[in-house]
Amino acid sequence: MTRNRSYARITAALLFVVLAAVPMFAAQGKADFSHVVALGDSYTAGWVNGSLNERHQIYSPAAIFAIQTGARLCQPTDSATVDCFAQPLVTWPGIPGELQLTSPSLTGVIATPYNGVPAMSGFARPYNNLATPGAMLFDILNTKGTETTPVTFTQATPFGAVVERGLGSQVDQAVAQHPTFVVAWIGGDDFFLAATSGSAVDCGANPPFFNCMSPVDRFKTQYAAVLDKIIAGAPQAGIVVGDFPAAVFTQMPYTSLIPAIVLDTTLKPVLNNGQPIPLFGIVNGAPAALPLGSTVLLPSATKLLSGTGIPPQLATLPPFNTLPNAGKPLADADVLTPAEQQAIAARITAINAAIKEIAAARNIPVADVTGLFNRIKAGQVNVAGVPITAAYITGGAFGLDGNHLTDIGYTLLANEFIKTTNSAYGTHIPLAPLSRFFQNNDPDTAAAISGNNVMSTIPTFSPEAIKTLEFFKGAPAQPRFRTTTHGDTSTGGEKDTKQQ
Amino acid sequence: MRSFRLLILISAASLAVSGVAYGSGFSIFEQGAKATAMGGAFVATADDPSAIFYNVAGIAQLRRTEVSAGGTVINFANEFRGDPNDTLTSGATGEYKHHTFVPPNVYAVMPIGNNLTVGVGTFAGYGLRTNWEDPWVGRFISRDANVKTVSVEPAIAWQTTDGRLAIGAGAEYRRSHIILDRNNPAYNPFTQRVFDAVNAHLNSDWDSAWGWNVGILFKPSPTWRLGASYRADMTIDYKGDAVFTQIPSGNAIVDAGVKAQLPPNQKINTSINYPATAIVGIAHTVSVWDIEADVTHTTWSRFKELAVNFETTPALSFVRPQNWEDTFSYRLGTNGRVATHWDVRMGLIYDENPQPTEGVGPLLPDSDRTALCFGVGWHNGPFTVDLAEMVLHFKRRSTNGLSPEFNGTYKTDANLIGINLGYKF
Repeated sequence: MTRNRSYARITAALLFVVLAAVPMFAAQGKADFSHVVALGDSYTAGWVNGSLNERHQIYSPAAIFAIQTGARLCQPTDSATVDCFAQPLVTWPGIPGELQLTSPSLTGVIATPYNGVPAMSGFARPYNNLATPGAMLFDILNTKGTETTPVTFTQATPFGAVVERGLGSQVDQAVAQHPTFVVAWIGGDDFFLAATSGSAVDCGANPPFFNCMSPVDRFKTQYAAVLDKIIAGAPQAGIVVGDFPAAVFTQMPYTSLIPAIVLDTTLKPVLNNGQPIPLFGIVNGAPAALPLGSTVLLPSATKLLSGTGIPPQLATLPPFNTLPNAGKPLADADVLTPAEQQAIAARITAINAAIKEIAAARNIPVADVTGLFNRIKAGQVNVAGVPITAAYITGGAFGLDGNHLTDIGYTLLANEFIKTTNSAYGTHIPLAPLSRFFQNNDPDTAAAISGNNVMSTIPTFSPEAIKTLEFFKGAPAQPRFRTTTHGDTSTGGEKDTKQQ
Repeated sequence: MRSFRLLILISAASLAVSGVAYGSGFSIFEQGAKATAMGGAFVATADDPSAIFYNVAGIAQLRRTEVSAGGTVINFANEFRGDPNDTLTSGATGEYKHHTFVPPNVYAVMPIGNNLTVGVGTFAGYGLRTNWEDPWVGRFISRDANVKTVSVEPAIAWQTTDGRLAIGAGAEYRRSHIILDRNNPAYNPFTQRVFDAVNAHLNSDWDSAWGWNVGILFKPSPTWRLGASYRADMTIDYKGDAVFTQIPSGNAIVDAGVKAQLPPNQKINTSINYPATAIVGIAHTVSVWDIEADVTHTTWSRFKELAVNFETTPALSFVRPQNWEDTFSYRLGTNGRVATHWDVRMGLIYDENPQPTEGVGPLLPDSDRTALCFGVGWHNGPFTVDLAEMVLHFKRRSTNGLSPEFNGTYKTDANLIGINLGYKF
């Protein structure tokens, strides 16, 4: 009898422990990562060195986040019923051809002169990573990839067709696949596309929306609309969003590398009485000396080499008189003036406030991307003691296009979203390891990558490189890049040579 | 164009010494198979020639000329697991390359008259090796750290005619050699990867210093013994060479950039403050069993920093704070004279580690240790054979996110086998 009572007591105790343990486990992770979906733009898509291609898409912030939560990346051979994280993989050298470094200078940056092709266009379900290069909030809500009259940058590129494939907008496809967790770093191209076009003008009330910033009110409405669609369609899904670094223009090589002053061939300022000489460009519709603090956008560096922007009073003097375009003004779109920089920074600040307010109202955590870029700026980010800075080519954070990140940069970015998710949802997603970017830890990748660098040095940005560099600059009504150019590009250069 | 700089951080980023070892820090307390089998609780027994190491007064008990030679075969099994919250080490694992260490010991003692005994011993009281298997995620901090010492100690001890009190002293001449090896990373803008740019190999000469030690043994009754010994601290100044070897990146431009910044091979110097060790113990005999309990105090707080000076390129000089703390270890051992020619032995050890959490790293992931020891002794006429087995477990040690550069958890176990052969003339 006594013994039986003891057993009963022990059983009750065990039962209590088990019951108590269940909610404890649940509390360890209030998020379900069994089906992660990402919305966004070129950053979330994994755009590196001016290109979307599979060598870097596997390190897209969305892919890194999903892998760290336990997902496997889909391979082109996978069927749509396989449980994996699907991305719109594009074969190397990507769309457009990936920029490569042949020597450590601006002129050593060249583009691989052919494009890759989508490798998973027939994948029979929406991609988990729906991030689409150039996607404004308008696109995330509306663009399906079948638009015949483009009204946005994304619609003017192949990427709507590559990513959305006519299956619905980003947000509709996200909801349709019943996500359990959504990573949505969205809204960046509502200011970024203007900035990379040397512009700070607001978009009008109705499309088209080219080279312009979304007004704050519309940003708020559309941002909330995206989140509310996800919440309505997937009420159980966890969500994480992110802010935008307002000081990015003082760090990003694309907008900060080249000051709008007369430079010598080594890009050092030419001084007159100890003062730099401002370049000459179109300001408020008329040619004038560019205000101090203006910057020349990276792709326009080549124009400088031919003399464009050299003030007329210097154009007849040696050595400038040998330059064919000396005395001609830089276009408005080549330059960000301080007024434009300030207007964009102010817009980002307003957007960040809006994001925090809209997210807070929906109990959605906001990743501190601003904090990451502040740490990079402060020299507080390193890999095994190697500092990761915003410096062009050598810094490690930004790729050769100067306005997107490297694989290392995207890993750091993804880790901000992981940290925020862990802290808000009580999860324990391990941070993505930077050690995978130790060259010697990854000999196959290293060999593949270094094998790409057997290109001869050319004297300046090649036309293809400029086209790539200018990808986010301005926006035509015509697609700039076709999705296929040379047919099967999987064997790269060899095929190309044969065709010649 | 902004200048193109490959940042080769050969400097401060690190190169600390510490010790992985077998007694806390990098001391090696296993210098005789009998003592090892008793968990090192031997200061109040000290009745074989290894007393030169454990308690020099003990050799006064040895009234015949005796020699003993042996070694301790040490094997490690370890594992590093990266911290999921450290973006460098997350998901990474590592382990040591397999090495078998055999610190040797040789002792000889000779009584002179009725009360005096002189002796000489050689042993390796300190040492460590942490040599990580490639590709090791921590190789930019340390690939290989190797500290070797060998000591020679002439000793003398005197006991009262009734044998109840003995005192002794020794002079220790310690020679030591250090190797520190790591790779230095840089960013390759062509691959946008971090690569191993330069191997830095610091190799000291065999440098030396003198120290001293004293001991006392008191037997208040036939069944009780008290012992104490003190081995003074020591500082060894090392001179050596730094050799920088470029590691090809596969890209000629990058390699040229690295080569242009490769420092010349050059002379270096450093010094290591070795601790003082004080031991007190009490032993009691019950029937055939001798039971001893010891406490050891080691002044590891002397190991405040590791500073390496580079003579040609002073900018490479670095100081690594260690900030170790003094430690105690607790030892319990027994020897049973169970048969005419046979003894059996057992021991238990708890050994505190001196290393602050933030200092735990690839150079020395030290940890509190526990050990279980067994052994047998066989003696017949002039011959003695002692065997010891020690199972040494290091408590799992995590940096708890406190390391400024390399977080993770270290698990270490070691197995030690001691053997000594003795002969009495």
